[in-house]
Amino acid sequence: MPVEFRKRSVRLVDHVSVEEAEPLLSWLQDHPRAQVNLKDCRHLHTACLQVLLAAQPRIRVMPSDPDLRRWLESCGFHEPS
Amino acid sequence: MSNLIEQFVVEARELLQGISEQILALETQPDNTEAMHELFRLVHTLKGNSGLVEAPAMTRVLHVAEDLIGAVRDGRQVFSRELADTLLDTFDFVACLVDELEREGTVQASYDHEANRYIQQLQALGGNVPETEATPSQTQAETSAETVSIETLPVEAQGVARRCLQAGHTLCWIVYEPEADCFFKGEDPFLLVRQTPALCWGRIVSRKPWPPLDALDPYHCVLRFELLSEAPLPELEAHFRYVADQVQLCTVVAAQPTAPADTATEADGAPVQVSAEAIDQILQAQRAVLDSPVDEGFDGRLQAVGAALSGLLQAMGRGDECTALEAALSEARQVRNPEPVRRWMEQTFAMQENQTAPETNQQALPESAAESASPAATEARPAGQRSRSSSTLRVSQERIDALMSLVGELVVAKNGLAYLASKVQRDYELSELSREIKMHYAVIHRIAEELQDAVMQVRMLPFAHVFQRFPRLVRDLARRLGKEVRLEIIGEDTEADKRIIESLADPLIHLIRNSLDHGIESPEERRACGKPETGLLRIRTRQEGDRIWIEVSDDGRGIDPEKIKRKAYEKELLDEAALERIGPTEVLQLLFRPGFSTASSVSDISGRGVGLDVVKRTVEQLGGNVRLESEPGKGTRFILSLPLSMMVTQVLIVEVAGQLYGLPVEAVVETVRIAPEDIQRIQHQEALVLRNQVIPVESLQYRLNGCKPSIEAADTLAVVVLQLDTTRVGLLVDDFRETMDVVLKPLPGVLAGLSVYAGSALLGDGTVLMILNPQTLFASCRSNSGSEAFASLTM
Amino acid sequence: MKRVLVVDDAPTVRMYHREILESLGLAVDEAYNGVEALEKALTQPYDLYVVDINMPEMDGYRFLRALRQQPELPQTPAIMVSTEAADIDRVQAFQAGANLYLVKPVKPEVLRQYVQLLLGEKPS
Repeated sequence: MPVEFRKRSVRLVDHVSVEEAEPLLSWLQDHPRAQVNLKDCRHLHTACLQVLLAAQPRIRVMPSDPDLRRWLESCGFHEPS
Repeated sequence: MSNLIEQFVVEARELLQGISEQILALETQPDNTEAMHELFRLVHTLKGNSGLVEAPAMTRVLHVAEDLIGAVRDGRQVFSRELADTLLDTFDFVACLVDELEREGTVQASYDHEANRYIQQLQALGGNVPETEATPSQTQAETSAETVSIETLPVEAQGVARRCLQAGHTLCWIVYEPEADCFFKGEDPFLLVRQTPALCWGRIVSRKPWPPLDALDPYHCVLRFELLSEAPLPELEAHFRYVADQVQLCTVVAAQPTAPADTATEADGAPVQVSAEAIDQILQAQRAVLDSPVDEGFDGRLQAVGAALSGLLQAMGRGDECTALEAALSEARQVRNPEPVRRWMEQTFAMQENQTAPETNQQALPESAAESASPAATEARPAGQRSRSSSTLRVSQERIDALMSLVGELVVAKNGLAYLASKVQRDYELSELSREIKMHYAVIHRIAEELQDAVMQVRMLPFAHVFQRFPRLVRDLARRLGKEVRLEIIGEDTEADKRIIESLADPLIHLIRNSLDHGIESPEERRACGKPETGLLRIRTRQEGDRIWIEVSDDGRGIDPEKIKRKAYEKELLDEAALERIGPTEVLQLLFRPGFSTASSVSDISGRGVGLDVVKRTVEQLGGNVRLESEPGKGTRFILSLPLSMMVTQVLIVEVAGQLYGLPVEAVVETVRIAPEDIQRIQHQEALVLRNQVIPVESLQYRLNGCKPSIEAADTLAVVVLQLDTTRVGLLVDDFRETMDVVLKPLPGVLAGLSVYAGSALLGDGTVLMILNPQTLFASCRSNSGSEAFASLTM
Repeated sequence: MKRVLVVDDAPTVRMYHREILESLGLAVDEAYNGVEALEKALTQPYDLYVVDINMPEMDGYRFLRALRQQPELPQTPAIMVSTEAADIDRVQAFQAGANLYLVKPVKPEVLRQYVQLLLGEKPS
């Protein structure tokens, strides 16, 4: 499963596909204080990226993939310091 | 920093106004070098200022505009009409950004896209280098792909771009805006972007502000990707070939020589220099100063270097070394050679790496060369039109208004003193005290008048304030209508109260539109009539006593009275009898009637649901009047007359049925007392023959409440003769009283609709006086049955 | 309290520099061009000058040259601030008597740092 919803966080793994955008959006709406774990995420489909950009959730772990990490950093995402 | 934004906005608007004026001046005289230099200076200043506020889009646009104007100034580019259009459009956009900045305190990145469009338009014009100067390779490069200058990139990308270009790489700027429904086509733009070859910078922005989450459609792509890649253009074209229509590829070029050193001031978001680097910068600069040729400024410079170095030592916590510095300085002064200080610097601050600083080559620069290199900058400029920093004060509108309303209260309170004096005399018969009060009253009266004058002066604005928009307006309208029009403005220095000046803007714009639309003919038509092809629109103002006259005239086709008559008849504004009797002057006044429009179709320009009736109403609300003169074939002239100031109105007080009313004295021709038998009945109208002129008489009481007073019972009747446009009317009242200065307050809310009143004023004893508006008081009378009688009586 | 004279024909730039300098606890005076700056410099001492180049009537180069030729005045550091990043402008600025050359727009923290160093204050 590329998306694992937990109680207070969601874990995105590997390639997150376009189908996940809708569930991700509604889950983030229902859990406004939730955190996103991107550690093992290697790519986000543009639709899912849009959801993250619009929702601006807190990030628990940034991706270990350096390229994706840089992109997300350029969008203003970062791990809590 | 909100003060800074406020200041920026004020100055930016001044600069934009100047810019627009210079562009218009250049359009008529493209070789006016003074205007060209002034234009460049204004744009340069505005660009510089924009860097101080959060408006990167504005700075980018201005930078390219400045480049283009610089090219024209240096003769590398021709000043064409097209160029003027583009520049005017661009600065309109900049004006929008200034508005946005004023509202929001920042210019959002969402304007970047629009800014890029203007930048591209400007660049398209700038690329148009005269053939003799363009080298073949340049032209080739320009035709094969669009180029963008480094300065037009987002500031965050500029640092990377500069480094790439310095390293000699080709660089491509990519803007990818995927279609909104691209996800349904199985596309993943982000993936495509991540796979871009030789990507060296990128960012993702939203084309629109994000909606609330519940309104977000995740399957509607709103992103834009902006990228820099070092890959060759064909490779990038291949990479984006499936979405070629959504991608823009431009080669990045360096527009200006890149500057060494001072990295801290480059806008690439580099971290602030660490202190060590700052210290090094200061040291390098002092060495450069010491290396300057020895001249009359030597001692002064040496001393300043000493001050800078001693400051540096203290900042570094090495203040105890200042003694050695002093010794080196005084030795240098004695031998008139900076060498001792140089030596001291070498010993005190171990020389490090940074030897590539600019000053290494400057020793070779002979003094004369340095002097001659500066003429452009040293040349005296025409004194700026803006006032100096120290001589004027910007005061907010509210403060002036508060001051003015206090002066108004003082005038009213002063009237209370006059009231008290007469009360003391009348009710207590203390004539001595009454006289003393009157004396004090006279003193306060004089001071109040002077104060009133002074405040009025502060509120005075020159007409230039509204006129400055007109050249552009006339130009644009004429262009759209295919007419050639020359605008002549006379007396733009004439001043009037701010409120009058500001309220006149719209009526005047309407009159200008009217002239261009209906008055001035097309060039062909004018030629056929033997007139010059270029029509003349003249706006002239002058002050006469306490009134302002404004004339808007054109040399167009004029107004055909027969046409107006026909139209008025069709619109049932006149019946057949009146049609025959009405005189040429009255005919023209019909144009000011509500619902009257001479254009057979509502045109784009003057037909905006606003007619001349609105012009008339606005002017009347300001206490003025409008007249229209026209000669068919020769032209049309609107004449507006207005009070100089709105502050104080002189009114004649009249009494009707025990109530007091005020009539503005400028409408009063005379007051007469007549016997009841002097009133005659002509047709349905009561009238009075005064010095061989028949004047219709109306009872004010009847006008106000519908009751007709019985005039036969009275011994004498009091009649106020009023001037209304071209006619005179007698107003029957119970009695006249004194004239008085009052501060007119417009009626609030619902009452404002009762337009027989111009407003109210507070009297000295605290009662409220209603001030009548003679124009509207009789409007209903004239639009009903009165008009025919009027027409016949005033012939 | 140390005094700084800000010389620039653009009111916005003057205000920008004023706000930065005042944040360092400095007293700030303004001048519209070289002529006004020189008049002010002759009537009272300043601890620092922040000077624009392009100004009407008397530009920054001429102002500094004139300032440095007044031996009776205290010769305090001057920062030249310009939109031009070219070497030729720097060289001219130093020859005229500037002690530092910064390219506009100067970031607040950058200006603060240099001003503190030139005035002998420990950077905060």
